[in-house]
Amino acid sequence: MLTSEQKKNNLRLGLILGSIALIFFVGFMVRLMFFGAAKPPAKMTGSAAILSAPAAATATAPAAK
Amino acid sequence: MSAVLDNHGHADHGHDDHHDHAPTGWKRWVYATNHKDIGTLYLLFAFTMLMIGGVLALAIRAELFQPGLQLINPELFNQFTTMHGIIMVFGAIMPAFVGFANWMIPLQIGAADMAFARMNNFSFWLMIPAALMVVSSFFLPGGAPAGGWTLYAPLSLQMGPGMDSGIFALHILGASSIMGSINIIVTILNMRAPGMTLMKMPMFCWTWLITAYLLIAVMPVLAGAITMTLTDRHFGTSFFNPAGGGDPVMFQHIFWFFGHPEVYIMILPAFGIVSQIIPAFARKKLFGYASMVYATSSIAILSFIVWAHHMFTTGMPVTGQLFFMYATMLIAVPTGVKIFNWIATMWKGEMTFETPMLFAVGFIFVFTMGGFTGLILSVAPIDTQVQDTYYVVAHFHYVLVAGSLYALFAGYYYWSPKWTGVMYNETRGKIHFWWSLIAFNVTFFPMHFLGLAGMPRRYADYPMQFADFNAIASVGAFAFGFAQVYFFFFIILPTMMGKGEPAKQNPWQDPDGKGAEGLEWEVPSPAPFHTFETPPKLNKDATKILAH
Repeated sequence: MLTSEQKKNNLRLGLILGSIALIFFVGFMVRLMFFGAAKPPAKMTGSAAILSAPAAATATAPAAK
Repeated sequence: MSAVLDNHGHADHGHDDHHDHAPTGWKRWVYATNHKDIGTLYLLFAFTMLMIGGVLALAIRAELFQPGLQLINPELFNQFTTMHGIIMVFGAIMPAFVGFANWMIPLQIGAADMAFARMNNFSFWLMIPAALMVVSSFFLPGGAPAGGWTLYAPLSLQMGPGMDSGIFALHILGASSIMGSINIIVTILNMRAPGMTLMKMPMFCWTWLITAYLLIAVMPVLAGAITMTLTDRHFGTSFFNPAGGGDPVMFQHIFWFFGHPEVYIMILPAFGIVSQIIPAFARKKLFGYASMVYATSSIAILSFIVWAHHMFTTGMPVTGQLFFMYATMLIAVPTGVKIFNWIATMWKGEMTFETPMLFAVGFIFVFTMGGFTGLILSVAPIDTQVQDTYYVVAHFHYVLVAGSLYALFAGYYYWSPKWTGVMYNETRGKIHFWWSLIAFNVTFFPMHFLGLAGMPRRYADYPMQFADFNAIASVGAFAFGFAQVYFFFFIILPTMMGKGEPAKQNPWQDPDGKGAEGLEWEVPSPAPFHTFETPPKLNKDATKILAH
């Protein structure tokens, strides 16, 4: 049987994990609701631009020259 | 079955059984807090959903048996494909692994029960209303969700109340999964028997520990995405609605941030089961235990940075395609480590091929084929050609049916003697294996050719050029479906009713002591209702009980 100390430890870890899930759920929606989707800064290079640059900018760059 | 029907009089032999009084009647199941009972409930629920999802699959294959529209109209066909996916992923495969976790994790780590027994009960019973909502959505105006199991916007924003029903059901299933994951993590981290260090833990527990973390990380993301879909549908927001300035591609990014780790949620516990079975039947220790743990962790971490390989055709920048292509290819490395370790475990082992081993070896062969097609699909230019074709359908069925489902079958044959107290019929088990293996390949192998020839998925009709392979696939699908009916009536049901030879405490151990190891084999068969109420004293390897 579980001792009261074990029960306390279980509850603490359970609440920590539950809080993480709750923060992911709420935080992610708040992020999109109030800050919108990621926008690229004016000058951005390298891996930071991977997700945010418009497709045409990278796909057609050599041809444009 | 000790935790299903009765104890067959075995319980009084156990060393843990002085309080072995199981509740009786319906209250035993409705108010169940015992991990074995809840495990049984999960497994029965998962099998029921497997059958429902299977019937939908057979309806799909019946329609596709020949070109033209014969049995179901295209709208219903789309509902069937969508619901087949949702039911199989959320109703069958995931709950089945949770059932295995409930049954086996406390037994394998020497814990009396799961950490939060009442929450465990709640996690299970949440699934029933969710399943009812999913299935009953067929009867709502407009029918069931029909936009694919991925619920892509804007399709998901345009459908009838069936979509709301599906979204609510996914919320409930997600909550259930998160509670189950918390329970598993806390049980593994806090309730191991003294001496059971993390690096001595059975691989099944390791894979589930990592899977549970994945679930806690990604389930809230899915919940958030479908909540925003719901507000787009009913509260005037436009997160994903292009008509209001929203971005439907953003939904795809969010969905696959959940969806790709979800693939590993469905396969990592399967790796764990196979890692238990192969050493038992090769009569050797698992080769490279530590590397197995690190490989599992690596797969889990990498699963967070590959999601957009599902979206190569959405107009992604070339740099993005390259990043996701290479990241996806990287997953082949830890997966290869695992397959190498399983083969190295078998190398020069004293192997026998009872049904669990047949399914485990079958898993390695066929899952590896699915893994290879996954690697091919990770190459962006190839993926662009076969996106949304039957090649993709073949790939993920090789991973999820021959992967997850075969591992579940392997696990059932391996551990059912411990659950039920009787041995299944070995000949029938072998028939089930060969029947399933052949029928599976007849169903899904031709789909590679269909996909490469350009047949798109999710259509109720197709040109005449695809007729032959589709007819073969449909015949194979029905054969595979009947194999599972055979499995239920001729293997599961007899063992549940206690018909069969009484199982030894460790049926997979030779007289010379070689074979299956682990604490689950240190308790009688069937496992008593209560086990490890006092923490056991373990040997150096944490595989045997020295004293209580």
